[in-house]
Parts: sequence; structure tokens; C-alpha cells
Amino acid sequence: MALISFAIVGKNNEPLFMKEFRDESAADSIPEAELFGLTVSTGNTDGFSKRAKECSLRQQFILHSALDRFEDLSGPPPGFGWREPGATGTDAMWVGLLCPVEEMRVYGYMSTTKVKFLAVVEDLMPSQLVQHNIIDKEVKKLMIMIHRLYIEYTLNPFSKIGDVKISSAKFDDSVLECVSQFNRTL
Amino acid sequence: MSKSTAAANGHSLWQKMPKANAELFALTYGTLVTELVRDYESTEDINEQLEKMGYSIGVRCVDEFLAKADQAGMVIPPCRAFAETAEVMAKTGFRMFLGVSAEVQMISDSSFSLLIYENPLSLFVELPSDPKWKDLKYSNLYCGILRGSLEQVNLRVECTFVKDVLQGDDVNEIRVDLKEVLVDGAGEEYQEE
Repeated sequence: MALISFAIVGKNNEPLFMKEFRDESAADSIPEAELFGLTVSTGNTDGFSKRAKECSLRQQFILHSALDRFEDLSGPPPGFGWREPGATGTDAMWVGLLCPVEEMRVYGYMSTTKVKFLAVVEDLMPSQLVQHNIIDKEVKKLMIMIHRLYIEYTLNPFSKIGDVKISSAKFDDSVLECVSQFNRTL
Repeated sequence: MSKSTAAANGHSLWQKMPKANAELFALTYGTLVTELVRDYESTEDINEQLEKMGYSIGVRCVDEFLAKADQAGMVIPPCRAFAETAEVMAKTGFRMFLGVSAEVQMISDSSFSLLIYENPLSLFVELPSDPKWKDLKYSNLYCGILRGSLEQVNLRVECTFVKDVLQGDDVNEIRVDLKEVLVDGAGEEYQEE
């Protein structure tokens, strides 16, 4: 059970952060970008725990579709339709499973400032409910940790806020650390 | 003044000082630095401005320090050697105003290094990886404060940041060099003929 990719999307649906964490050491596969006639962005193929790569097109597609589901769940303004009445804090921000896609599950988390966090997790046992509950809880913990890292990033006086991509080595490293920890606990 | 009394004094003075929220303090300083970045072109100018601001703060801080210590019943005797000044400054002064203790490393009779492990000003700060930020001394305010406060007690010093955690080193190091011991006196107009 592994986290495949993670994305942070701003309140106007602009991408702030997108990373893929899967080990693509199956070198035979053609990079999908080439299938579309685009040049391949040089990601790092060292394997999983060494570096996170640029998000592949397929993952971007999955994350983009999951965003639509987010809008569905949000409902009419003020747009926090999934919340249970009386939920506060991080419980209120946790949306849950957005959609299962083939062998993957996409989870969502939206902060009060409408910053959305999406995680695509690999699902090896699609029919086991018990396993799913455990995964849900772990993903929720991961979301809370990454949300905290995002907050620390915004508190940096030199970071650009708005519709600019997050470019901070410290943030990248800490997210990778969280993801490795998540993968170890599953 | 022995090292342990300096530290103890520092700690008790810190207890008596009114406190501010650490995050608010760090964010305010962060905004100040980013404003300077917007106003000035070169990092040298920014460093200079920070030092000047620190100087005005230092000039005022030393009076407060001596007054509060007196009120608390502490005796801070006149320092007999520059090393004593360094200890008092690091253990009592820094502790009182910032809540962090600094360490002193004497280099010679007239210069020492102040090592600061935790810097409350640079909470959450990460400098961008652009090479133009390599010369920015984010906490240069401290250098100004040291220069200002020591000038009020007749010691003219020069302070520079030697190592900075934000630039990748493991500790913040400020080098303080004593240039001149100033002589008390009114200006030339008041000299009697």
C-alpha cells in the first residue's frame, strides 16, 4: 500500500504543488508524455525513497478528475457540504474518499481557506472494508501533517503566496519524509 | 562577575519582563526584512539598514538593562576586562530581552565570538535559493544592537555576522571586535579654556 501522488490546489483551482512518489523503475514503459508527442520532463528515477518526481501526466489527469468530485461534494456556497454538523478543526477539513480509480483511491482534504489537498493511494485489496478504514485513518493523519507543513511554508516571509507554485527545498524534503513515514506504517 | 551569576541574573530578569508572542515577533521582523528587500537594491544596503535599526535599539536597551537589574537588586559591577563584558552581554543581556542564552568564545583580549543556537527572529524563515541572497544577513539587527549598547558604555566595537543558520551553517556566530575605549567628555564647545 503506497502513496502514488500528492497535490495541493489553491482556492481558484490553481496547482500549487504536484509530486509523484511511485518508483517507476519498470524502465520498459514508455513515458506517457511521449505518447502525446510532448517532451519528457526529466524526473528522478532513483526510486521511491530517494526523490519525488515531477508528476506524470496520468497522475495529473486522475488528480484533475478528482477535483471535479471535490466540487460535487462541496455543494452550494459556502461550499463545505461534506461536513458533519458540529465537526470542528481538522475533522471538518477531512473530506474522505473522493473516488476509486482502477486500483487507486483518491482522498481529499480541504482547509477553511479552500486550499485543497489530494492524495492518490494504491489499493491492493479492493474488496476489504477493514483495510480501507485503516488506510482512511492513515491518510487523514498524513493530510494533517502536510497541512501543517504548508502552514509553516506560508509563514516564511520570503514565500510567495497566491497562485504561485510552492518552491521550497525544505517543504519538498519534509513532504517526502511524511510520505515515507506513511508508507512505512502501512 | 562569574558566569553562573550572569546566567542566573539573566534568567530571573527574563522572568520579570513582559512577554510577546514569539510567532508575532518573528513575523513582524520578517515583514520588516521583506519591506527592506523591496526598497533597496543591493543586499549590502539592506544589511546596513538593519544594522542602523539595531543601533537605535541598542542605544535604548542598555539603559533599560541596567535599570531593571538595579531594581531587581542585582549588582552588575563595572567590567574589569572585555571578557566580562562579553559574558554579561551573552548570558544576562540576551537572556533578558530574547529569552535565549548565547555562548561566548574569546578570540583575543579585544575580540570575541557570540554563538547563538536558537534565533527567535528567524522562526519559519527559509531564504530562497537564488544566489543573490547569499550575502543577506537576516539577523543583522543583532550586530546593530550590540554596537549601540556597547557604545553607550564607552566601548566602540564592530560587529559582523560570521556564520548564519539561514545560510546553511549549524550555528549563528557574531564576531565582536573592540576598536576603542571612548573617553567620557562633553564636546569641544564646553571645554574650558
